[in-house]
Order: sequence, then structure tokens, then C-alpha cells
Amino acid sequence: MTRDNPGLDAAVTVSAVISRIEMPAVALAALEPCDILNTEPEVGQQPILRLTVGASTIALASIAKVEGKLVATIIENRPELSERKGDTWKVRKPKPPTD
Amino acid sequence: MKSRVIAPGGEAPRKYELWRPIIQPQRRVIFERIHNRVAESWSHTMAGYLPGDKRFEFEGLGFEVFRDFNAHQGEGSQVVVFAIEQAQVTGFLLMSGIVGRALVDARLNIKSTAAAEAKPSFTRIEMGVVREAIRVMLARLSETYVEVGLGRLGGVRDCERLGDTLMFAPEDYLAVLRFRIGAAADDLRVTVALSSSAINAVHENQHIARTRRGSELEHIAGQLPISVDVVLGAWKTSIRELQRLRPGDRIILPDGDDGWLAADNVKLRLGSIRFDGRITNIEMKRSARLR
Repeated sequence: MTRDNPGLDAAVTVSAVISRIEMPAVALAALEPCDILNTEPEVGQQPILRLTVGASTIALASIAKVEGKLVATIIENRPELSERKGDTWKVRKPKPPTD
Repeated sequence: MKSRVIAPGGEAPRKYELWRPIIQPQRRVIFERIHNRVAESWSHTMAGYLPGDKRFEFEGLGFEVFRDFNAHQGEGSQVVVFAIEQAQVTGFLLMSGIVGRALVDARLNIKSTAAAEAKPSFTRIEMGVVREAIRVMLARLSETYVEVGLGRLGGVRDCERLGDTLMFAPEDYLAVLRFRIGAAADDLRVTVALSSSAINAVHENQHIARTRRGSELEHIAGQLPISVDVVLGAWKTSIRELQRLRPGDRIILPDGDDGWLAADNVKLRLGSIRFDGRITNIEMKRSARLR
């Protein structure tokens, strides 16, 4: 007989992280409304979603649009494989309107 | 019969011009440091206007008579005059036409032609971009002058021709501060000129050195990498539910309209997230800072 562990019912907040990048503090601070931050995975054809709790990645998932909804499909739930390399990034400034 | 003695091969001696300003070397050094800071500040703030990875460089301090300076104003150049009431100094910022053209091209992502570079002219929108660039530069200049105790720029007005400023007599000596964008050969120059009394309004104290060290530290800190997460959304669940997750399981995600950037789980900016193949775009929202 297995005993149920009530600790497993504790609530945690899961975040869906679509990209993880490293950028200089000054570039982060300089982001302004309407600026567009582009990120791109260093490897792979699609962004990979990280499900994170606090600082830990608990699973990786692919994402796809299904019937207009964004759906994540778990592809890996072993933390030891979760250490992916960060994505690349660049910032585009909005263009002022022209005549 | 009158005669003059002239050294062999030398020029005729000139009378000493009593109105020439006397500049103490230490003050000159401080004045140059101040304008190195201005160049740094412009490079940082004007990144969206500068072509490629070019930066503003402070070329140096010189003294010129307004009359000579006025004679060399190039076509298409922009002049903005100002006053620093606290220091009782007047001055102007002069941007050459090709600098204006380069800033507009970089800002609007326009591929410039040789003809446009040779004889810069601007549409109404482009002129708006030039004026905005000058406004930003003056704001940074003013900030720096306030920090070093010179005072705030005021009485700012545009002026088509230097001769129309009516703020300088032809024989006035000006402290001329030359800046360039990128390499010297690019010939992209911006000039700030102040009535020469400005240099004596600078006090020999440690304020500049202290501020500069702070600025260097700030610069180094600004380059420190921060790990940033682009987050589609978050939700609460139990550890038990998480333990049950298996490859192939599906989760419906937030659509990304209300995403955010976070560092160490601290929300930094709100944004709208979109996907374009392997590229993820997050457009920053016009929202108040979160922290």
C-alpha cells in the first residue's frame, strides 16, 4: 500500500517561457514601448517552450497552433536534459510614420 | 624714413590680442573631460540614429573667432542656439547637412545615394527627424552641464544661418568643441560652440573626476549580462499534476497578448508575443514600468 503525500498538493506557479536570452542590462533598460525584441533559437527550426517553476525547468515542449489556440506538447520532462543554450536576440525600433 | 625689422624668413610679428581668453591647463583638461562624457552620452542615447555601430567621438577643444566660424557654415547644416544662464554663457550646436542626412537614413532605414549625400536636402518628415535628433542631443548636453555645475540650457531656438543668431559679435572668441561620428574620414561632424567665458565657469574640483568614475562604473554595470525570460503566461498547479506530465501531453497556452519579460521571475516589461517561424517577436507595450 502506498501512502499519499499531502505535500504533493502544494500549489506552485508554472511559467511558460518561450525564449531565454542573455542581454546587457543597458539594452534591457533601453527597451521602449513599441520596440520589438526578436529572439531566435540557436538550434532547431522552432522555438521550444520551457515550463519553469522558480529557477527550475521542469519540462520542454514544442508549440503549435491548433484550431486557433496555442498548444504545447511535452517533449521532455527530464530536468537533466532541460539545460538548453540561450536564444539569440536583437531589438528593432519602430519606424516613425512617413508622409 | 621709417623702417621695420623682420626676422629672416619669419612672419611679421602680430600684436598680442588682449581680448584672447587665458585658459588654465587644468580647466582645459576638465572641459575636455566634460565633453568626452557628452560624446559617451550621445552615443548611448542616439543609438537608434547612428549608422551601424558608429559612436560619437570628442575630437577636441579649440578657439575660433566667430567671424571665421560663420564663414564656413555648409549648405543644409542645422544651427540651434542656446544660453546657459547660470554660467552667463551663450552657445550653439551646429550639425552639418551630411550628418543630418546620415542620422535620418539610419533612423528611417533609408539607403542613401551619393547624390543625396553630396547635397543633403530633407522632406518635412525627415526634417522632423533631424530636429528630434538635435533635441535629444541638446537634452543630453544640458544634463551633463547640470551634472558638472555649469547649468541648464535654456532659450533654445533654431536658426538657419549662424550670422542670424545676433548673439555673437564677429570678433567674439568661441570655445569650439568638435565631435565626429565614426572615423575621421567619414567627415560626419557636429560642433558645439560656447562663448569662451564658459571655460572659466568650470571649477577645478574633484566633481568631474568623481562623476566620471561613477560613469565608468555605470558603463561596466550596464554591460553585465542579464538572463531574461520571454514569458507567454503563468498559472498555478499542484506538484502532483506536474509529476504526472509525460511526453505527448498537451497544454493549452495563453495566446501571448499579455506576455512579459522577466528576470529571476521578476516582471520587467509587458509585451505582446507573436511567432514567425523560428523567430519570436515581443512588442513592448506602452505600460508603466512594473518595478
